[in-house]
Amino acid sequence: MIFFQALLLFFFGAAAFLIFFMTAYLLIRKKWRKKYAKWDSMIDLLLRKAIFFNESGSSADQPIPVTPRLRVNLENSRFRAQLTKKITAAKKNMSGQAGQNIKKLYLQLDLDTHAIKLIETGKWHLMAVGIQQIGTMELKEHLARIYRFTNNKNELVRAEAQLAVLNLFGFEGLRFLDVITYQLSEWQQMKLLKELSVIPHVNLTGIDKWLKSENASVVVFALKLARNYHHFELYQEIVACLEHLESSVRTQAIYTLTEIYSEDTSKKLLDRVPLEEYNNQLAILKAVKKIGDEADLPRLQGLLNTEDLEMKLSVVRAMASLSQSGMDLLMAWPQSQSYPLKEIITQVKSEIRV
Amino acid sequence: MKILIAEDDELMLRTLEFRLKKDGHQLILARDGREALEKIDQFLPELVITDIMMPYLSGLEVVAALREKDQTPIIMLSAMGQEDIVLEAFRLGADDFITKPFSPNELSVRIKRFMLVHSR
Repeated sequence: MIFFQALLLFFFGAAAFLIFFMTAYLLIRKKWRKKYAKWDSMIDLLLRKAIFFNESGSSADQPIPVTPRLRVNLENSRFRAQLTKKITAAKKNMSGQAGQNIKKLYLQLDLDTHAIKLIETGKWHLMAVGIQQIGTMELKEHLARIYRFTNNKNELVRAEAQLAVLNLFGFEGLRFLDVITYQLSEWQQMKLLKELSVIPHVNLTGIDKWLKSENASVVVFALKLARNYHHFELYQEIVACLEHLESSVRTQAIYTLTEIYSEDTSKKLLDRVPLEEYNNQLAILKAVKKIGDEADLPRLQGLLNTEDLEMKLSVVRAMASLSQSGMDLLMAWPQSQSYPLKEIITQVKSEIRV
Repeated sequence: MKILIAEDDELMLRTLEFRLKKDGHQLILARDGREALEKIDQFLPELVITDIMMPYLSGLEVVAALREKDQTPIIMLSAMGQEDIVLEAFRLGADDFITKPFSPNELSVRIKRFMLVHSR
């Protein structure tokens, strides 16, 4: 009986505590939400004032008016974080005078000093935020501070630093590729290429050097740059990458040679087939399908004997797309009327029709 | 001119509202694609300015739905590097696009040009 009463007491006690805890939590959350909403409207008003600062007849030398209340709030780190988030988001959306005014406000409120402080904390998550701000606000004067982080041991820090350097100096910013020893992840390479795609293209130099980098990911990225920006003059260097020790480099070289090629590229690629890994063999066949010619047919025909169905399909696709003679050769092949070649040829024929 | 702006970023929405009101336009604001379509039916704007990335219905869906009904001019707001999406927007029937980041003044000038073209 006593045990039952104790259990009941414990149950009600726990329930009461839970209700108290939940109520307190909800009240605090409501209070913070209200506060954030208030801050949001205060910040939005300030940003609108800043964006249209010159239109109110104010001279560019005058500071953007900031209320004393906002100045007081600036001491609060949560408010400052909210303000910085909104200012950087607005900077990303506005250009011209409006963008300049937002930058002016950012500097006027000394938010750059706080960004530097974040970088100097040594905590990777804060450093990344600070570096991102410097890049977004285009504070070129802080290049020296962030450049060294392009080869930081922390992946997020160096990713943000590399993007910030591109933001500040465009294609010139890619110089960090000369020195980085850490690998550029596939994701980071995509982000860098996306960033570059919106920057006015200038004559990019240095790719030849990066193609010989000891960092395999830099070579892969250089191959992507050569392909995207059509650096035909680098043809020989790209062909040399077909012999690279890293398979990922050789794969990328095959892709790049599909865009930057000469008359004998398909021959060079087919020479590599017996030496290559399976995936690269398939990549070569795909490349030959696009850039090959009739002269490649006998060598492709030699590959028809493979037992691997995927490979067989790729060979047939390449032969059929090169010329009508390719298709004639396929039809004349002894096994063309039996499984699986017959089915593969039918499939490829329907692909060509489509 | 009666203009509907569909944009989920409150600051951007208010900034455009402020700028275009100053130019003497009548503004209707929508914060997502669904609200935009409802307000288009309700207020029959003469020009629609819509962001591409919005909750519930994207800007592209707004263009497609609007083009099924009428030929109200549409200006798209797109982020840099969204060329494929912009091409899709044109294919669906958008009339013009502005890439973010942009200056509110640039939008104002584009609208004036629209008014000139459509008043002819």
